[in-house]
Amino acid sequence: MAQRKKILIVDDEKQFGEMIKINLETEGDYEVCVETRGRQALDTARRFNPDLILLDIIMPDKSGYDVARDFSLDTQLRAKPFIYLTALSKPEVLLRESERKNIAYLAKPVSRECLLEAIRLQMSAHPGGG
Amino acid sequence: MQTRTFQTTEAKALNILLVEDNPVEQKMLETIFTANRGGSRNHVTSAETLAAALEQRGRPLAFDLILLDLNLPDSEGFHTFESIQSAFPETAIVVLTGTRDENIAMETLRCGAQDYWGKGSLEPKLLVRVCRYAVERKRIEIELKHANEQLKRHEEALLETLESLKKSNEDLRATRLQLIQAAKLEVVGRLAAGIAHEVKNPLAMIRMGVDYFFKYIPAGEKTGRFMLESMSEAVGRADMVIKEMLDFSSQQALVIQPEALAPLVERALFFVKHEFDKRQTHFEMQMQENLPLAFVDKTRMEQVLINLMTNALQAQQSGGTIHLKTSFLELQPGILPVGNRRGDPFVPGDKVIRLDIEDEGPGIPADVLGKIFDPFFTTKRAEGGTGLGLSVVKNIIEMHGGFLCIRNRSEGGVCATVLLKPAEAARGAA
Ligand SMILES: Nc1ncnc2c1ncn2[C@@H]1O[C@H](COP(=O)(O)OP(=O)(O)OP(=O)(O)O)[C@@H](O)[C@H]1O
Ligand SMILES: [Mg+2]
Repeated sequence: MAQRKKILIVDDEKQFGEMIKINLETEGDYEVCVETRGRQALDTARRFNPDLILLDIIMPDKSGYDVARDFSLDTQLRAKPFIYLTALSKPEVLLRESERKNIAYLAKPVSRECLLEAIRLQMSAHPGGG
Repeated sequence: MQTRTFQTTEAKALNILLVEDNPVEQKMLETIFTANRGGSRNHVTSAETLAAALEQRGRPLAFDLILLDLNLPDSEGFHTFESIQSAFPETAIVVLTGTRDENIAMETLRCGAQDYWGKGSLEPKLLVRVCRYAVERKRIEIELKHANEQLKRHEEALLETLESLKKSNEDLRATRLQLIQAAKLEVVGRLAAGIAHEVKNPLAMIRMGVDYFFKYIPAGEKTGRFMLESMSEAVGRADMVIKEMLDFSSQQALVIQPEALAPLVERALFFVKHEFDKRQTHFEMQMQENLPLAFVDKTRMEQVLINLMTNALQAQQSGGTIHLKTSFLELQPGILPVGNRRGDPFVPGDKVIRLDIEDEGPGIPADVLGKIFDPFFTTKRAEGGTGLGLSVVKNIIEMHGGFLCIRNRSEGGVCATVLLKPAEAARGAA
């Protein structure tokens, strides 16, 4: 059996992160780490070395866009696929970062099924993350 | 007919036309006015018939006064007065009467004569004074008439100004209303977006929790399952309400996903079909085969097509054909003004989906071309245009990271070109 895939969740809402973690881990295949501070995201990611990142956009200390930009400049992390998971009604993700190919976007509230499906798709489209 | 010069005691000389056929009366009247009292020099012109009197009309020096006998060899009574009055509208008239035509004299007073004089009572001093007064009254009457006319002209000009003021006021009010509406929408939109964000987060948590329990609830747990289903439905409903609120404020979430253009065009066409029929305008569609999916928000892109097609239709007036073409191409330098400037969504070498809408209308004048994207700019105000069509289109295209260009075709008419990202390029998943 392959090694469990690692997922990093960056979301300032701690409980939400934990709930996703539970849902993903009970699915079996994933090892999940939750980071609630945008500023810490880069450090945590370097240490944890995730296969995929779930990223909130509106966070009090640092926006998801800025976190994503840090990642794109980091040799270890730049190829990791990630998914914006946001309650924003009008994400500008696609416009701002359309040059990056490894981005997907899900609108909150997202169902468990949808989330799992999106993670599977992103990982198979960008296996380079692992 | 004789003309004499004489003087009176009054300051100003009078220029008098004496119309009298009786030589005795004529002589006496002349004498009265020619009596030299050391004043200024007066002129008297005598005429024995109406015809002779009327001949005086063209004289360079206008008469101040006409002394008029009504019964002449060639004209009788009131008719004499009427003829003289219409020939000399600006001259004072004093009617000379015998005792028998007192009634007619009264009638002439009512119709504009300044005074009348009974021939029986030839008292020189009195007659001269009567005449002076008559001239004075006429002068005032005419001044009054002129003043009135001028007043009337001013009043008309004022009314006109008032009318145009009213109109610009209305225009202003309408524009302000539109601006207020637009501003309101923006505020509501921002508010709605903010609220949506705050509410969606907790909703997302409930969804995660509910979905978790769904997965692990034992099959026989009927009541628990019912509760979860109800909760799940409630989350869906709340999410719906938020969506509707965003819709209402027209700031709804941009849902960009891969879409085939053909069905999108069909749906847009459905909205304007009636207009095409009404104007007997043909629609021709040339869709390139195997066109890749475009990365767009379906509803918004429909709006773009509807607005552009409506403009094309309106430019066309009636009849003719509107062409819609799509193609997939690699941008060459110089084909379109898509350039090398920083911030341009495309550069030469990019693969793009191109959509053209061409009309056969009059085109856009050079001085208008620079303004067509300004909100509220319209040349169709009278037909109910709001001038928001193209600003909305531009906005939407920019939201998509696309490119919009509207230009006059060399063959005449306008071509609106939209460049869109194909789904592969935007998403990166090959
Ligand atoms: N195809 C066209 N041919 C000629 N002129 C055009 C064309 N499209 C746009 N215009 C000019 O650009 C102006 C602005 O267009 P826009 O769609 O923004 O507003 P509108 O059509 O006047 O009103 P609305 O779309 O709000 O009903 C028009 O009033 C017209 O003068
Ligand atoms: Mg329009």
